[in-house]
Amino acid sequence: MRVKPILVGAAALLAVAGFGFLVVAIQALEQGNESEVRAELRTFDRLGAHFNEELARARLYVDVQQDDLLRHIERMRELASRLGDGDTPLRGLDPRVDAALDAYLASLREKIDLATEYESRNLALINALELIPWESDRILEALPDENRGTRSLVLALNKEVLTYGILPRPDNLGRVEDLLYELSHVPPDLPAEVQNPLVKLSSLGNAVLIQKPWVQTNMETLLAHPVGGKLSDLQSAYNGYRAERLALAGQYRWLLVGYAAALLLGLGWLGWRLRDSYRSLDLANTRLHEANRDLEEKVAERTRHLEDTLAELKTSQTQLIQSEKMASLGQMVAGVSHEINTPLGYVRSNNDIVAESLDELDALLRSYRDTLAMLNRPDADLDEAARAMQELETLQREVDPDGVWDELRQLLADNRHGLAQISELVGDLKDFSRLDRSRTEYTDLNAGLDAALKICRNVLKDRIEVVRRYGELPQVECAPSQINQVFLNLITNAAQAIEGEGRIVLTTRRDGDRVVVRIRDTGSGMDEETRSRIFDPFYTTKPVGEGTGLGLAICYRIVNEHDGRIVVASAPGKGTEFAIVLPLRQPDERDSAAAAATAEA
Amino acid sequence: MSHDTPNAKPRVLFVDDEQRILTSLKMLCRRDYDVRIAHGGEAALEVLRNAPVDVIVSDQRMPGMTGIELLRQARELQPRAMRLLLTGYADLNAIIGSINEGEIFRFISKPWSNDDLKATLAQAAEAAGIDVADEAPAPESGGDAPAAAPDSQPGVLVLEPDETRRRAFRDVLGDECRLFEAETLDGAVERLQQHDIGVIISDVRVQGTPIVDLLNPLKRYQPHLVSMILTDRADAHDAIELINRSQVYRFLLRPLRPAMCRISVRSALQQHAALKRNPERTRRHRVQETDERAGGLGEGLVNRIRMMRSRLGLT
Repeated sequence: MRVKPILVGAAALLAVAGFGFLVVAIQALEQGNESEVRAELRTFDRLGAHFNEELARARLYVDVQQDDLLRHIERMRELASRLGDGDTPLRGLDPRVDAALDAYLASLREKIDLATEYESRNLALINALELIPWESDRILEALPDENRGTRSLVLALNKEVLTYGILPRPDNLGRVEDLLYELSHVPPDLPAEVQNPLVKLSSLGNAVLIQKPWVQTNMETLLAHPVGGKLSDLQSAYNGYRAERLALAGQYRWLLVGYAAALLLGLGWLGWRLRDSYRSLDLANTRLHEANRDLEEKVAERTRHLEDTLAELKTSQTQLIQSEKMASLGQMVAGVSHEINTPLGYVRSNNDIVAESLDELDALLRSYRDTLAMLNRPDADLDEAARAMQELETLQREVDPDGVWDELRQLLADNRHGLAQISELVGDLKDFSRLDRSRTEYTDLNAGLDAALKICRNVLKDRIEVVRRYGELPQVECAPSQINQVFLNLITNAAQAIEGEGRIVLTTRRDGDRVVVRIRDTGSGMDEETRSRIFDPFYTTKPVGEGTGLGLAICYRIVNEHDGRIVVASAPGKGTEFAIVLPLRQPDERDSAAAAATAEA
Repeated sequence: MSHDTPNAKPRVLFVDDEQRILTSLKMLCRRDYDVRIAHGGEAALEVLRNAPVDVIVSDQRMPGMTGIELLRQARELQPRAMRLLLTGYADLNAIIGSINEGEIFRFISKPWSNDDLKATLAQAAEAAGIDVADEAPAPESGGDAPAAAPDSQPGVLVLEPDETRRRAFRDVLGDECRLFEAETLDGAVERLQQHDIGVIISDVRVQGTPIVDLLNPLKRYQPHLVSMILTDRADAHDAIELINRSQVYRFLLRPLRPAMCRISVRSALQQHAALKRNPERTRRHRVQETDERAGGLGEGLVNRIRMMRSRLGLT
């Protein structure tokens, strides 16, 4: 997941780099140093042209300023030197261009060398041509008039040489050679003033003869020098190179177009993908919004529902606590009414039986009386008396007064016992409920435990041994009916926890300004989870319908309202012990509040 | 299964954990009955295993075993023996249990009236003479199909003013039996006159009248009729009345549980069939006589029930 963005970034970078490379390459190929090269080539051309012009002028006009030519040569030499140093944009472009450049440079150097020589020879020629008339004049001045032949020779030579030197005619050269020959054969007896210039004239004439054809020939060579062609070669080499570059640039351009198209396509695809993902993102977002709204509605609805339920629960909890009180009251009533109705049942039945027996005894007694009265009568008939005695005996046998007396005694004893039991139960009830006393009072908790024990006697019966380890307790300020209810509840629970036979130990003791009541059973005990929840309302281990699970919750509340504590220790299989700790005195400020709370509950 | 000798006294077994009760009852009954006593459920079962008994009278609250549990087992050990509960206090669950599981003849509260007890014992002892060989305990758990021909089967009458509840009965029992409906006591009597009805189902009260006031004359004049109660207003007093004065066969608490309801109706129809096969057996379900004028029913309705009996008597 983390590699992907890096890859995408690299790909994008590569794409941009490729694009940039192509653009730069095309630009380089198209542009390059084109303008500089063109300027350079133009310089070559221009310089070459000027040079040729100057050369031509040098040929045409003898009196041309030699400086101009020299300057041009110098310029050309500089150019050649520059090119030789490689200081030109043409150098290094392409091997063919380099070769053409080299060829051009070689040709240029050749032409320069030739031009240099030409210049010096031309200069010599021109000097000679200038000196020839001057030397001729000196000869003619010094030549005696009589020497006409020489004179005309000089004049002819002068004329022919000049013509030859400047604009030679086809027969010029022959004549000049002839004249010079003649001149060399002039008699040596001429004065020195003549002889010296003559010699000079002759050498000048020869110089012209030497220089003029060279100058003439090489002028043609110079003018026809192939440097121009080399330049053209260079130009065409460069043009070829340039064309290749442009062709390459064209190819690159196509490549660029293709590449750009591919990039565009890629971008388009990415955009489409992006649009696609945006669309799905939008869709998801919309759905999320909807779901969120739904959820909020549901939550709101649920909250409302829960609030209603909570309110209902609170109401029903109150009702349930009330009904649990009623239920435990009902349980107690059930037990007590059974306890009362049992003696009441036999007392009433016995009463009827006694009444019946008394009727029988009464009949027997009456029979005695009648018989006795008859026997005592003076006119008593013996037969009649005997019959009466007979009847009496029969009746006596039937009634069996001795047996009846025993029975009556037995029944009356039972009744006495039954009535005592009933009064005791009523007394217990009164002790237990304390309904005839004020709500909070100083109470003997040991007596409260005894009252509770009596009330639930039918639960304990014979199977559970109750051990009382009561300590000396001061009177405790509490609501006895409530505390007794706690005792009853805990003892009943203890009894129910014991299967078969077992033992309940009740311990009380004073602990400073508090009393501690412990109710321990040898019952089944409970595990940690059960132990931690037993005071929770509605928690019950009894089968559904047998307990509301509020008994201990109510105990907890009652003890709490008395500013006391109730704690439990238990282990599965080892039994359970509840310990109730109550203060001897209720705090003053709580007095009324606690009373109000208990009254409300 | 009758008495050992024709002149032998009926055998009655009293069970209570209080010796003085047993003493008193023994003294009361020893002249007319062969009295046996047991101090608790186990001892009583021991007696029942060893000798036939005609009537069992048990306390409900006893250590070790409740009276209902004892009577339930007694019903299996000696189905012929009549079962009575004599108790100082029984909560509603105990009473409902005594109906559905114990199928008891009477529920008597302590303290009792000796005369009434004697009269009830006499009725029970007389009914105990009736052979119940074919009255096996109804197999209520059996999911067997109902009788083969539903059309020829006696119908079931639902007496219920509330349409929703009648519909619920229709849903549950529609396929089970021929179902008739009535909204009022008059309507119920009318249906009973018109149709062959074996079982009547009702709440404890209908339009303010305790249903026992209708069931009591019905059971007296048409003793094959078997009644069932389905209620959410259970009350111990009403339930005791329904036992003693109308021999209610089943007492169910709402909510209506379809499976339970169907099984109970099936069982009630079987009971009805058994009573019809052997009319003598209706004496085992004789109800307490009450002053008819004291009942909540008008004279007219009771007369119609009485007429119905004579009409049915011809068939």
